[in-house]
Amino acid sequence: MNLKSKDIKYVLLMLIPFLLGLFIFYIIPLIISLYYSLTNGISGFQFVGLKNFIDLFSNEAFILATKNTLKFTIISIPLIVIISLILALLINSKLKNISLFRTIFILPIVIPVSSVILTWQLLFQNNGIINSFLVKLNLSSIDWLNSEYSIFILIILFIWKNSAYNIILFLVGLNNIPHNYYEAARIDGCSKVRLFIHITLPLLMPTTIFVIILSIANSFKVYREAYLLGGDYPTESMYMIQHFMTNNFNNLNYQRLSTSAFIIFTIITLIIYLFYKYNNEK
Amino acid sequence: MKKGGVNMKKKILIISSGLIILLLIVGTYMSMKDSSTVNNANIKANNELEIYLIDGNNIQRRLIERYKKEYPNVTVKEVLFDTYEEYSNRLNTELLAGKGPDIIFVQNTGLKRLNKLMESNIFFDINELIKQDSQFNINDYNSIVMNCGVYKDKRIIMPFNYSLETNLIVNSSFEQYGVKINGNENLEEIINLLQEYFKEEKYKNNEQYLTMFLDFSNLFSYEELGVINFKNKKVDFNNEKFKTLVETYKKMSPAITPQDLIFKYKNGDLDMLISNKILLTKMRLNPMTFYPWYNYIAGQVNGKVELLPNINNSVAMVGYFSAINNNSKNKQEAYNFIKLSLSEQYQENVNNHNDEGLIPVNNKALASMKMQAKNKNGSYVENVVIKELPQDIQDKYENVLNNFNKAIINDYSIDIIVLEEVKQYINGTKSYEAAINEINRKVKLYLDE
Repeated sequence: MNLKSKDIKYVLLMLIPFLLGLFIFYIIPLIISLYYSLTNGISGFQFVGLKNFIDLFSNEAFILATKNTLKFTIISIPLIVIISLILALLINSKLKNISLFRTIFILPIVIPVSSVILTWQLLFQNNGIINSFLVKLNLSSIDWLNSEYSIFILIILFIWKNSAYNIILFLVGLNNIPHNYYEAARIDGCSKVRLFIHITLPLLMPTTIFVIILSIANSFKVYREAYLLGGDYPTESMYMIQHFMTNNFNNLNYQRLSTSAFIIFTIITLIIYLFYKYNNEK
Repeated sequence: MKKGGVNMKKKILIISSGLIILLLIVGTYMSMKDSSTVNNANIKANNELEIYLIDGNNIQRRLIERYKKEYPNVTVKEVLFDTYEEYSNRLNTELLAGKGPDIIFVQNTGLKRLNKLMESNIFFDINELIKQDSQFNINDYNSIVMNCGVYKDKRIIMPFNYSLETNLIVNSSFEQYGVKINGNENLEEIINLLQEYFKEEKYKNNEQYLTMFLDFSNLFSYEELGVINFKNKKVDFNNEKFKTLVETYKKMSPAITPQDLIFKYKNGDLDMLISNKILLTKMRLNPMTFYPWYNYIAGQVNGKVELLPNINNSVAMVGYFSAINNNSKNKQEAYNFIKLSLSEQYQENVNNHNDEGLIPVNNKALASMKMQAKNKNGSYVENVVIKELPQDIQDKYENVLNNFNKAIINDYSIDIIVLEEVKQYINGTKSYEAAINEINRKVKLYLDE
């Protein structure tokens, strides 16, 4: 499309608010963050090259946080994508009373986090509902929130809370697949499984990639729930990179905070770049 | 031509990346070789001083008024805060933004995460100014307390005063339980001797308590107990001494007075001790506090008032301190403020009126206060005649005052972590092993971060 020069002026004018916001809230803080990560001191900044990065990679708290974050991401992302897809397929089917389930599956998105946490604590506390149930069955209770199981509680919470959004995205994706593909395939004698594998999945791939990217971004927001459940210093398995960053912010260690933030930014950018490259090649 | 253009772009990209990497490597190498801070040799007087104050804090107010009289040509900018919380939050934010007051003069408990602030290179090395001042002699001050403001060979905190505590009992209160105290017992021994008292459980019907509110962290210091090595960031609370302390504290917890009870007595815990409502109470060792209060209690009870110095740790805790903002353009004025605060006359004057019983770091001021305290009648307490202390009490008092071997600037963040877990053990919601593991893990994380 060839734009006339006066059209370009209007385009740029319309883009200015967005670009201003992008620069003020993203680009400039990113550059300042990079600057902090290469310097030392609060006053009289000293350029220290990669020293902050070297120190960080040998920091035990950072190593633990990174391990836990990776573990959380590797387990929760595939699970949330698969579960969201299954639920979206269910909602999209012509089953009876499915609209009721549609409401139930989408509901978690509107419930406030604090209410969710309260409920989760009632369920998983040491003297909570789940443990009372276990004791009644003559089984020993487990301190769910203060043991190595706490990460799995967090994963369940993350999936429960965030599936709704992914379900909506998958529903949109499913509804965009032309029906005549399915009709033609059925006429040719395709089973439901083959329909799913050869038509639904490939055509849903762009949506799936988008869901994966969003889920990765949302997985970092789970810090909110983790903090409400475990505080500044939760159990060893729940201590994530966001805890490390927040505590360094509270401890006024801007250099370490910026360095870790920059590393995370780089990793996420790389992952998203690879996904987009794969999608474009397809 | 296009291919040539692409090759050119690639070359530029490779060369720029190489230059950036080289710069980073050189920077890294240089920083590892020499991590000294900016040279502050050229410090000029600008006749300005900015300070943050807590509204209603008399110690800060008196000092700043005195400073204004001594240095009338210096323009003092005061920023007032209602609470320590606001003060701390604003101070931290401003310091990190490269701004903030020129001088920080505040109580140890008034700043959050002080140890982390000290690590962040926010405070100026005052030794740089001391070197240029032939009149300042660091030996005029309590060296143990002053040295706790030294971090990585830089003097960044100048303690103003400190607290040392002991405990007082009335012998006759213990004799009712068949216990004779010789004054050298530690807390565990006292608790073990009071078996009869704990059997009778008089604290359950508010008849008699063991002591007023006693902060668990006041019973020990981490370094003394060997549970934390701050330098090497090693943590190990799996320690018999720590376990004994926790068990002792657990036993005495039900017998600690509710905090609201103390307000029913004019002189708080001291009147509670006199009326046998509590068995022991803590006492700070500032002479101007100790002498009158000891005499006040001794004058109203039948038995002997005994000192128990071994209950609390023999570690001094810094009270107020000063620090100079590394960003300050008025370091000379800030240094003059510190000098004034540490002068004999000022230290004696402000610590004389100090309700918190803190001890001045100036050695001469302390000696002078001891003389005054022995002679001053009715200083804080009405109708109290100051008599000479019994010789053994005087000796014990002098011993505690002169023979502590460590001073600390406490990082309350660690206390909060330890207390939270100890409370869960005492309440029965956690086993001892689980509580210790959590303390080890959380404190280690805190130090590592």
